[in-house]
Amino acid sequence: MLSKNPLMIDLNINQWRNLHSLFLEPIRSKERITVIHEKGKILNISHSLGKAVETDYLQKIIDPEYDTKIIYEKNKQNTDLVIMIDRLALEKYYNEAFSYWTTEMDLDEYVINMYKLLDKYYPDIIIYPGPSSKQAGLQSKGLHDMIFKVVQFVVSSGSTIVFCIFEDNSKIFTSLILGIDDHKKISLVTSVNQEIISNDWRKEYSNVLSWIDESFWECDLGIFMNKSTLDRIMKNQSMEESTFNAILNREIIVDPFPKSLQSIIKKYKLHDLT
Amino acid sequence: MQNNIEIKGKQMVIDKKTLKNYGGSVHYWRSRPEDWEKILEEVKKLGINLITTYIPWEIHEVKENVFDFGGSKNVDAFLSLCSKKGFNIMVRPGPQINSEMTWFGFPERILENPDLQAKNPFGGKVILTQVPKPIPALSYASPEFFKEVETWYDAICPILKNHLFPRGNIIGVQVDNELGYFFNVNPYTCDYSTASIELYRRFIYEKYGTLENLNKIYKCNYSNFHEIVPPVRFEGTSKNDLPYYLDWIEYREYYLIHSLEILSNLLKDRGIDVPIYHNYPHPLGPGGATGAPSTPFNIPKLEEKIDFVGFDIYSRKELYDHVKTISSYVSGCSRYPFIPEFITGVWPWYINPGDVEDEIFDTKAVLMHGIKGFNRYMIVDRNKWLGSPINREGIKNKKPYELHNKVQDLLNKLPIENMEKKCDIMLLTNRDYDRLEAATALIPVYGDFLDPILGFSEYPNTSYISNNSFDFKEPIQINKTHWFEEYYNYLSSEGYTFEIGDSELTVSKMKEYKIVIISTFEYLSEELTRKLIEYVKDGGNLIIGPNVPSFNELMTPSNDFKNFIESIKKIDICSENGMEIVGTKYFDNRSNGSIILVPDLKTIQKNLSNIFKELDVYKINKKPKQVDAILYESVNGENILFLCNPSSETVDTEVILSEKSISCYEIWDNIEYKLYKGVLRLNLEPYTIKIFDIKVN
Repeated sequence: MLSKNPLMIDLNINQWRNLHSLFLEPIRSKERITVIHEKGKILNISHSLGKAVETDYLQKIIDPEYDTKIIYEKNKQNTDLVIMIDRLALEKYYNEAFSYWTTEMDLDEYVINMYKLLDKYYPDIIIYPGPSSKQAGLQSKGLHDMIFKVVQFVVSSGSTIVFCIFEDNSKIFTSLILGIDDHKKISLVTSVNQEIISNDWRKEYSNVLSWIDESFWECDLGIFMNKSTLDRIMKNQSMEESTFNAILNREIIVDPFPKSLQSIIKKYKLHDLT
Repeated sequence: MQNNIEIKGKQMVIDKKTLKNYGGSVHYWRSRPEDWEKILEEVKKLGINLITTYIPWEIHEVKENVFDFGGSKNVDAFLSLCSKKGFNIMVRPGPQINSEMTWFGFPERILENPDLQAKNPFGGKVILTQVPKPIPALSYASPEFFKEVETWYDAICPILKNHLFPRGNIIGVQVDNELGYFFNVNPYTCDYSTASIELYRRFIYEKYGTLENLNKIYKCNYSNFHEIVPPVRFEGTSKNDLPYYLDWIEYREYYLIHSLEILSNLLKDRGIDVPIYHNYPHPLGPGGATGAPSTPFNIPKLEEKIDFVGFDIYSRKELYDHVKTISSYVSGCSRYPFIPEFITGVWPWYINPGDVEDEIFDTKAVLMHGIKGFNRYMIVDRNKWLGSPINREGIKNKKPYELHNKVQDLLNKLPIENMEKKCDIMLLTNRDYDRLEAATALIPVYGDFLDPILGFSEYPNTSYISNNSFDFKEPIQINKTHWFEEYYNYLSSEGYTFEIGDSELTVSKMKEYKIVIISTFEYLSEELTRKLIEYVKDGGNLIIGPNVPSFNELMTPSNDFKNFIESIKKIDICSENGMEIVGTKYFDNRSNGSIILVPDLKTIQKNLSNIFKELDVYKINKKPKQVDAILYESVNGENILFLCNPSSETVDTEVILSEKSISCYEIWDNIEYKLYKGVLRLNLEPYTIKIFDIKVN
């Protein structure tokens, strides 16, 4: 999805940090129990924070799937994840993952493949609760999928997208401007300049769009909302539904509002009638 | 001596003048040439006098062996402008530069060439997940690779030559960048390329000399050195199995030193005669490690080949102990303690980046622990970098600019480069056991710039090394860390200033300290045993334990240490109340040197408190324990005291200074503190470092 040499300029460090805290979920932020074994013989059991692990009952890994669940259940209060690794499988896994690389391959495609490949190695490599591909490495809480769909299906080549979250009426909590090149790759990543918004974002957001049009290239999709709205959406079981509702009741301002997105929401409304 | 530039006594000296090398990175090709003047002016106003820049092969080679040095790529013009503005310059022509570039600074054709790639144990590629494109690790053992580098050096060195001091202002050239298997520090990841295996065999041959010697140690029956294959995973079960794996770990150090020596010779052959230096990678980098950085990096050995070596530092203030460890280690090991990349702003894929407050805290922390120069990476924002004091067009980024301006004022005022840390103790990290820790890694962990796929650090640690004891009393590869940490914590909390060193250091370096502390278990390399005995024979006080080693690194019996100990006088060490024997002291009447054997981790405090009193070891009387304190002295009698609160809570702090102290002025905040009979009392805010100028009567 990223172009070969994207321009990542004038990123506001506070906004960037906030974007990370909202959407990125590194595996290292979770408490993990890891068991390394070889054909069932346990070689190492560790907790990522050095906490005690209850495994007295475990002499050997006989059924990795079952044993992983039991370890998790017995240590639930001290762990988010249990990782069970047969060391030979992990060695093979890396070799296979690396074999898919080509210079043309995009970073996200490579990383997603790498994560998905872990599922193929189940139960020799397990991250529980799983699936492994949804827990491994750096996860983005759906942000990557959303951007991918928007870039591919909603906006046109040679356009920009802006996403801006406000802490109050005027302070930008986080923002992201993405420029899409002719090959539908992201070739620009930057932040909204805070100086554009001084009093009320609902009245001034169009200035952001003008600034983007002048500074970069035409904006195809703008999404503006308060942080409280985003927090509510992210807590909701059905993020899609709560997003569409927030758009419909103008908690989220979408401007420009591409026709393709409008039709998705119209379909959603009709579906609602059923 | 190269030109008039000398590296000596932890200083860089030109014409007898010690340089204040507090520099910043500016990337000429990432700005418009018309903006260079304005950018450099702002950097100058900030108080910086040293510019560093990478020079990317990736950018200058437009097609194979055709180079472009025009427009924004006109490095010659940029260097001339830097000189005109009065900056000293350090350049970093790679070949590898990372620099947040798509291909890590290499032309794409170099990375694509399978003959130049490093290999994993299965013979496949090794891919580093970096942004914006994953890239393959290259083999720095490949002769073809060096031939390719020669074409790049042939293109760039004539330009650099014109700017070398004294003709120009280049005072240092960095060879390559963060060389460490492309962040594949873990020993069983790479490099298993044909060229690397050949180099490994050469290393084994140099080490053992004859097949007879090798076969005896490996318990094998090789008929030719070419039959030897390196280990691809750890499968040792007894101590006799270990040398085979330990040799691979030692080879990985050799590989890095060997390739950097070749590269630096290529530079020298092309007329580069200013100091050549290197930066090992930030050991908390993707994956992270917290201990002293040892294998596969080796500052003392690499400094036998090039002029100086540092570690890069990118840390948030919460990781004070990490910054302290790295700074103190570089200060203890390098002939010029310089941080070639020191956090200023961040790259976009640094998860949850810090801010300028972390940078200011870290700056004070590295000065506190012995660093004499650094390069702020980056002082100017550019593509794929954010949060620096100056933006890509030369416009000030207000808050970072103001704080960096203030810190530069401090650096220009503070004569730290001419001052010495008042310190009697060197705490050595024992490379023999660090190698064992690496050798016993059970799984490969590959470098990853996002987040490691299963959460492991690429630096082997207790979470994935073997816990086997290998016929020893305890798992040395695990317990060595507990001993190091216990000493570190004891010395820090009691106010005993120490420098961290490496067992690879020379005896003459060890002799600079009244006390040398090193953990010793049942085996120790013969070379290290020899050095430690020599240190004691020359009057040094050596603290060892828990065991007197009785095997060497080849796991054959060796009684050198034991014999030496038995040849000198034995004295029991009693606890402070005299009720308990807690350790043993061996005293050499001829030299007044001694060996203190601490038999148990839990008795470190009991053993050392009396011994340190007896030896009159320098300590700063301070409380509470979590406050860290270091005193610097100059030959002119100036005293600078650093006080650090590395915790998240405000602490009431008290420091008992010499009664001769008459005034105490805090340099950062410009506040005079009152002393009551030489006692300094103050509240230290969370994550604060105060710097006091102490005047003595």
